[in-house]
Amino acid sequence: MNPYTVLEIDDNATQEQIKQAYRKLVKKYHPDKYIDNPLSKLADEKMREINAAYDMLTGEGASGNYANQGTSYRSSGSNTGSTDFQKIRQMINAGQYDQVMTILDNLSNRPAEWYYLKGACMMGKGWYAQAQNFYNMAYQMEPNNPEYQKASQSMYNSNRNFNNQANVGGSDCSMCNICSCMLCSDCCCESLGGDCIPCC
Amino acid sequence: MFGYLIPYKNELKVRELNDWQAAYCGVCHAIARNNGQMPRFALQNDMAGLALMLIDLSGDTFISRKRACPTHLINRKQSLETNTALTYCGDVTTLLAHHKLNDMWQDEKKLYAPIGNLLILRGYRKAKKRNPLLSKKLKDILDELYIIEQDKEVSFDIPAALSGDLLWEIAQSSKDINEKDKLALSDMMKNLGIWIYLADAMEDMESDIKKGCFNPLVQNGTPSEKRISQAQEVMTFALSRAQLAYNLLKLEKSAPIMDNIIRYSLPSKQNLIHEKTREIHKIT
Repeated sequence: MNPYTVLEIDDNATQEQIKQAYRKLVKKYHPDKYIDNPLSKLADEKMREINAAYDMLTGEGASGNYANQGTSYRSSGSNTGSTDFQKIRQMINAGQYDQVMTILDNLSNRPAEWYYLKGACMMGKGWYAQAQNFYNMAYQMEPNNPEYQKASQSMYNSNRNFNNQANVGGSDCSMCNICSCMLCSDCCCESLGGDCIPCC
Repeated sequence: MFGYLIPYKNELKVRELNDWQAAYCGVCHAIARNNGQMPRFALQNDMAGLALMLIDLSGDTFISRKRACPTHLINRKQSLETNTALTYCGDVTTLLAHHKLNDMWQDEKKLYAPIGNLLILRGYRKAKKRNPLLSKKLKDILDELYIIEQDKEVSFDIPAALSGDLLWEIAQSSKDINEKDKLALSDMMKNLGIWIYLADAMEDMESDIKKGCFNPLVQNGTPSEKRISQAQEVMTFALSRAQLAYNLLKLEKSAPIMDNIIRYSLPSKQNLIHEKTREIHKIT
């Protein structure tokens, strides 16, 4: 493994550049971004690779940072969960969404975990809007459950980060817009007794 | 793939634009060589992106040369040499064309649809022979989509996910790619399929209402504000998921073009589509 290639930097990068590249990649492949995502294992591997490359170049022992933070549908500590639901979680992790939907529909007992697992199944099938509805119901039934809280906020957080990213890069502020803005600000200021731009 | 997966050309370097063009011409020549002349008319720009990614991920070389074609007899264009990825993209184009023409006959009874299918029949049979499993899966998904779209009250999630499954299967059946890259590519294509379906539904809302055709965002003949708002959230989520999957692909030669599409062109298109939809249907 070439650590420079993994960190996407030149061979003669300084320690500061290495750290900056590492931080940028951690942000890109952070496990929190891959929650409820079938690619979480791939992202985990990538994160381990990045940590190993950083270790090789700095010797600062980053290995283990950000990796293995559990992004599959494992039972959370606070959830006692029945054997049925444990098996269903394993089936969801294996991608058996259609079978899980059938099993869940046949269950008459529907606690919060039932709604959460139904949401997880729909997320796997790509029925994102319905998945969000079921996650929200699970969260409403058990607001203190961190797993359900994270799931119900996942689409909102993902979209908020995406929109922030789009806005940061996407501003189309031409010189005409800047000048117009300043002239308008100056006019408003003068009408209130001040003077933003003295020469205008 | 409906013409959405194309780069914003003003942001590409000349070299990158030429690579894109060479990939498009490469697929076109591959269709002519392997499926006949008629399926060439069904080729869309999106296929160039898929071709570039497949060549990159399979480790194949990008060799191009100038070739003449029916639309460029004198000013010959650079075109990638036919290889496994281009042959596959040509087959996918032919298979999708066949099914699209079937849909047009079933839905709208357009007379040119069965005539078109007859003209591409030979090419379709060759594509089907080379990709029997893919051909069956595409047919099954499109048949299911046709049935789902008869129910005007169906949640937009379901047909959108089927559109995603269509692109998932296309990615899964690609050749000479390792399993990890195939998984990431398939997930990216699945989310792009969901995005494309909803983008198309938003753009076609007005004309679908006029013609009385199915549109998953229309309820009782009028645009549903609730469905449109939810669909916009889902589009953003699907695009963000596609970007996460794209981050895990190891692309080199095609990276600048695919970066342009995934990080710039699609988000810009999405903003335009959402703004236009809000304006036309007066949604806050």
